[in-house]
Amino acid sequence: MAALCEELTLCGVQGADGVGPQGLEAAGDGDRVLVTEAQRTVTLYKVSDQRPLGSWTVKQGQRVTCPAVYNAGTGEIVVIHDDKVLRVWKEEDVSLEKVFKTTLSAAVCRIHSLPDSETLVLFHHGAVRYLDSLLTDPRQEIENVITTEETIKWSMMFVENGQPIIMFISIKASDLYINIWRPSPGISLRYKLQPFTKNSQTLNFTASLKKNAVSLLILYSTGHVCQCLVPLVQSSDGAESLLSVSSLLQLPTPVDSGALILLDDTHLATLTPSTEKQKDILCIWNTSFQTIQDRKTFSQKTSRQLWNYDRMLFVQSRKKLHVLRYVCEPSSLASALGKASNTNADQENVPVVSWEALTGSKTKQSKFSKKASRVKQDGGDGGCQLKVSLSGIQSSSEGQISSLVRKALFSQNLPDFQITAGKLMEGLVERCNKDPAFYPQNALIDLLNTNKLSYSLCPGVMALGLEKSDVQLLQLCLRQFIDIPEMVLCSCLKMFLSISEDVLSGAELNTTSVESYIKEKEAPNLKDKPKEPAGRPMQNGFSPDSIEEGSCDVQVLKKVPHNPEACPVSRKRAVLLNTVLTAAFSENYLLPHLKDLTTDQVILFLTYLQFLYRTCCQQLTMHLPGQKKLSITEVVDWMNLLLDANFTILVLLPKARPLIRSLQKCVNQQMQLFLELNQVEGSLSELQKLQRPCESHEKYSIEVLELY
Amino acid sequence: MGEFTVHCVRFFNYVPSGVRCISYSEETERLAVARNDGSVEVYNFPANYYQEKIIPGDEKRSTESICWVPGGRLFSGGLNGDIIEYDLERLCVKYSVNGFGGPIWNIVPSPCGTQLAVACEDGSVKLFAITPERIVFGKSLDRQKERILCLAWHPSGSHIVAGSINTIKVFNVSSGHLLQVMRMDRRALVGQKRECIVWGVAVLSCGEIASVDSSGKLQFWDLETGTLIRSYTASSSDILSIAVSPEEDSLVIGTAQGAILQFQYLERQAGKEEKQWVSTKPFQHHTRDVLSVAHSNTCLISGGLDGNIVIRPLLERIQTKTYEAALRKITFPHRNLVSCAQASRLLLFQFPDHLELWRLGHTDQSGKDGDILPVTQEHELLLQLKRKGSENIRCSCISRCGTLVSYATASRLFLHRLRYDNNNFSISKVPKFTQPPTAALHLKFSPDSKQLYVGTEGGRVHIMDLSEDTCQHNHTLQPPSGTWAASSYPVHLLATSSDGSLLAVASSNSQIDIYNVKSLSYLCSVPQYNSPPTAISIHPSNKNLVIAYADHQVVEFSISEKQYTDWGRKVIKHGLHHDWLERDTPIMGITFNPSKSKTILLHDNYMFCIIDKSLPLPDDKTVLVNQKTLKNLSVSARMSHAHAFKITRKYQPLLFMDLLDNGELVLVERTLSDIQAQLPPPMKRKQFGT
Repeated sequence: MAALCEELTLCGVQGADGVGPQGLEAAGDGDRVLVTEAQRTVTLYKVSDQRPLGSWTVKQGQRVTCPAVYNAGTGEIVVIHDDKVLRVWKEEDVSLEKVFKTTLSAAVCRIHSLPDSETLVLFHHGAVRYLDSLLTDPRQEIENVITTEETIKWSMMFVENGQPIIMFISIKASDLYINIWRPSPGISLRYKLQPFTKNSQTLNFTASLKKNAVSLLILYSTGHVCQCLVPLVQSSDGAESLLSVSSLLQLPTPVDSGALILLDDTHLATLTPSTEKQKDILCIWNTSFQTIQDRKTFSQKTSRQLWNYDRMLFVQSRKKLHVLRYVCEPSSLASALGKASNTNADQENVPVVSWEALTGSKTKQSKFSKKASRVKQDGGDGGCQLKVSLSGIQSSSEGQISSLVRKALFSQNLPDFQITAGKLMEGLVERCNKDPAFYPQNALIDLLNTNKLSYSLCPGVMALGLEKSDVQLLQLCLRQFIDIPEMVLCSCLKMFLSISEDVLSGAELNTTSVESYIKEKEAPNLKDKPKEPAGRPMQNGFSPDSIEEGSCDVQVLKKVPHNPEACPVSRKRAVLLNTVLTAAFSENYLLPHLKDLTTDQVILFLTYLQFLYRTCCQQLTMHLPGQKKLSITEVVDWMNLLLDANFTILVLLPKARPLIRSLQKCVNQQMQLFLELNQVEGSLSELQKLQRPCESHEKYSIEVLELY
Repeated sequence: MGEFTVHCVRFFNYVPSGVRCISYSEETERLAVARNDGSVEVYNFPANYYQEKIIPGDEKRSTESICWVPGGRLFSGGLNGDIIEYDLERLCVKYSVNGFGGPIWNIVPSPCGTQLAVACEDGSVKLFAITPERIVFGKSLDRQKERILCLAWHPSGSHIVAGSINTIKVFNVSSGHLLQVMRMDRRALVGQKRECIVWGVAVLSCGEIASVDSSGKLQFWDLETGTLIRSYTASSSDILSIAVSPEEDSLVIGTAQGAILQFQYLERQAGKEEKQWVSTKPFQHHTRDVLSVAHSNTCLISGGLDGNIVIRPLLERIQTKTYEAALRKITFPHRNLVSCAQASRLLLFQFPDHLELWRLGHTDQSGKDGDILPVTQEHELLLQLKRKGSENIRCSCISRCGTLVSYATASRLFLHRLRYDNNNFSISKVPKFTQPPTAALHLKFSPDSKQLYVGTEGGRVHIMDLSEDTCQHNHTLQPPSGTWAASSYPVHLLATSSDGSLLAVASSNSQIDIYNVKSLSYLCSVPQYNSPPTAISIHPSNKNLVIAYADHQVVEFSISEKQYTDWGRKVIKHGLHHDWLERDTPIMGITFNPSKSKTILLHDNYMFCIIDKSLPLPDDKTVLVNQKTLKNLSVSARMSHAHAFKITRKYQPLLFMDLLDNGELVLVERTLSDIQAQLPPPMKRKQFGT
């Protein structure tokens, strides 16, 4: 999962609107960058402090032609102005006029420097020299590697096994050439890049080093991000080989300009114009799942340049240089889809590539869509079934639907049944949403019971369940889906906590798992539970309704600490809550959503968790019975999370105080117990040590020994 | 195959004496160990850490410090104020020189080996010149008030650093003047201990002084300016010892809690020049104070009050990461402290200051493997014989029939006659007794108890004729000239043949000579091997000599044919099992079962083994210790799985093994927990949860 974190503004940028800095390079340790701007100024910034450490300007009339770089080996800054004049200086130097200067014999295109390698200079005509060798002999002959018609469009440096590699892309009459230079024994490789489509223009490049190859990513004006693997080993024939590209990602719209940069193996950032006028959008993509992980809209045009150093993205916008920190974590399918299927988020015009869209459309170029379209083209059983079922769903009655679904279930063993079931489910959900009176619960449950579905296949079904307050359906979903987003999980929890007893009593739920530790006769307690309608939030624990029932609230909460042995919820509610407790979740993502619980919900849930904990402790068991064994660690984890999320509210709320106090007492007692147990363990382990010498304590014995 | 009635003896109350100080010589690869009872031991590292020399102690001297001087000379200083040089060929004190400074706490040779610095109780540091013959007093450095407890030379020999109470002092060697006084920080100690005792110092060639003290700190000082550079609180208890590796990139300290800690001089960050001492490895191999540590090129060596010597090879400095890299813990001596009168079922136990004579018990029943038989007649202590004088007992022996007991100290030989009439038991000194010409190093009675063989220096053996009330020197067996002339090694082991005609004499340089004692003539020598022999024995019937070497090789030599036997050659050719070669302790005893001439019985500290020469030798693919598997197999299946080495680890640690005349086996065990129980209590440490 990748996400953008905090944002800060590094500095203002000179020059016209939409013209970004000339270059931005890391300078030594990760926190410093070197910004070259307006063709005149080089500034060294400390990012975390947002302040410049030093700034140098060339004389009026001179022009910086190549962004300044920081030579980590020597701690010097190197810049080229007026194509051929090279200047080297240290941070301490104040004026650029007094620093070392030399004039080279050819025009320089870029200087490349990486912390663990020597600095290299790339000339306009493709020659590469070590900076050191140039400094010793500045007037040395520079050969032409590429023809004069060619111009270098982009270049990048890598280090492989301590050896530098320079890759640069040159353009000659709309033909792109990839050139690779390696120092020993002066190998240079040259490939021609096959155009992606006829009219596509390349907008930006980024590359990363793989084993024996460079993975080059290209952004095309058609909105495609394509990958090209450039081998670093010479092919047997010396001829110029043609490299083909493969599509990796499709941006929603064609773009006229844009930038992309790799964040790690699977994550990619793009900066492209938004569909709205005068706005640019920065997206972080997961390339393996083709999903957007995070995005940020800039209210004005940016310079469409992107830099990435040390987990920071640099973007220029509104005459300011912004720094965006980001995190990239290895993704699982569930977490990758989590954000994408977040339907409640602001409806930006960026269509999200989801399974839903992939299985439905033919036009997509990705491998996933190919698979999906093949399914359709095959015209196999699954495909036929699908077509029939889908057309039926939108018109048939509920009875017909269940028979339709049952028919579809016969093909369960087919390999593509999963997609069929997903489509069916989505169809049903769509119909339900259109027609509020239509709700084929049995059909939905039948489909869920196939155990083939996941949240990402049919994201609508849980929303539907929440809307219809169908606890049975939700319980089934919670049990079967392993990729439920934390927000949905939390919505389920909220509903389970606040749903009225009447609805619960009508639901068909299996309560055998909790019967052993929850006595039904305590259910009357539940009558006193807050009866506010589900889903209506209280603000700061206060709602107009609770004024009327105020006396009632106090009563309940006084009762709870008086009788800690009693279960605070009915069996059916307990079963539902247990399902939530055993569901998979990630703490970091769940925590913010838990803050949305009302105080009454928090207190009720906490009381229930405390009850579960006591039950576990009393029975000296680590697991409670049930289909999915609820373990004591899960209970404690949830208790932790709930307290973490709502601690300030709980502390301030008078009615929560008895509960918190009893919880604290309980924890203290347990700590005491474990301390004692620890001591017992210490003593017992000593006993074990003593046991061995006991065997032969006799001073003298006569034994019989036989060796075979 | 081999069924025995085993007398399992656990009443030998042997307690190793605590290690007071150790010194390791890179030149000779020998470790000298001085124990609290005054004895000095020399361990040969290349020969599997074999304990090749023991110089017995003396009540009158206690050793506080021991050191090697280039040329393989060994010096020690002790609380009686004497500096002693040891004679490693005759295994005795060569001479002693009084330092005239009261008790001596530390002696350290100068880096070039020409001078010996002595730290005295009266606050003086005295320098002695080391001459080839003796040591000669040179001069005293400026005398101080407090006693000097430890010394160190600057590697260039220009300065001497002395640790005292609350202070460290730096002297200029050439002028003898005090240059610097560094005072220890005593603020932390207020209320607990009034004094901060500097237990050890070391000087690095860069001019830094490392010191360890009773407050548990390891501190680095600048020699020139006398300022504290760095301080590490390494232990909550006293740090008693410090040693620096020859390359000065690693040091080791020993604490009063039995822990040793290694510090290494490492780069602060990978690839950067700046280096720092970093505590890298803590080891807890001792249960009591670690009074002395040494740091060789490849290992850390520590000696503790619990009597253990621990050799901890440093894995990063060893090429082969197998057997050499294993931790060695030496608890028991590599020589027999027990002798057995096979005919009269008596055991003689040797302690530093007395002998104990025990009679073994009886049983009238037999049983099958694993049975514990009822004891009809209990074992009993017959005699406790205190040594004469202050010198500790070096060696002792009881005759086969149990009527003669002999023991020797560093200077004298004693012989007693025992008489048993029914239940009466009496002991008397042999009245007409002449001392052998040179000191006894090893004793052995002839099988018929008519002669006493006294092994002595230079590989010679004195033959003492015994009669009812006389003991006279009869003859001295001289090793043939040529073999011993070059270097005169002392007699290390003796073995007689059961008919009393042959005597095998082994020395620690692995020279083994065989004599005919009837004709008093030299017969032959065993081809010299490069590892010292640890046990030898002559077969009763076929007169083959079986020798176990410190590198765990076992060979059989035919005396009549004057060459290795066929089986011996087979073993050499085939090679021994790797598990056998990677044992920890040397073979300490070999004996034979007269009823089964094809077998050899031998033992080390941790196993008892019967070698059946009729069975095939195991190769590396077979399991060496396979008795448990064999036990569960049928008789026919056993035959296919059995190999020549029948090993049991049922009895350990094993100190002695012998076969009585009636075929019963005697095994003397000494469990570590029994030793632990008899050691002084360890420093009390609060452990969590207890």
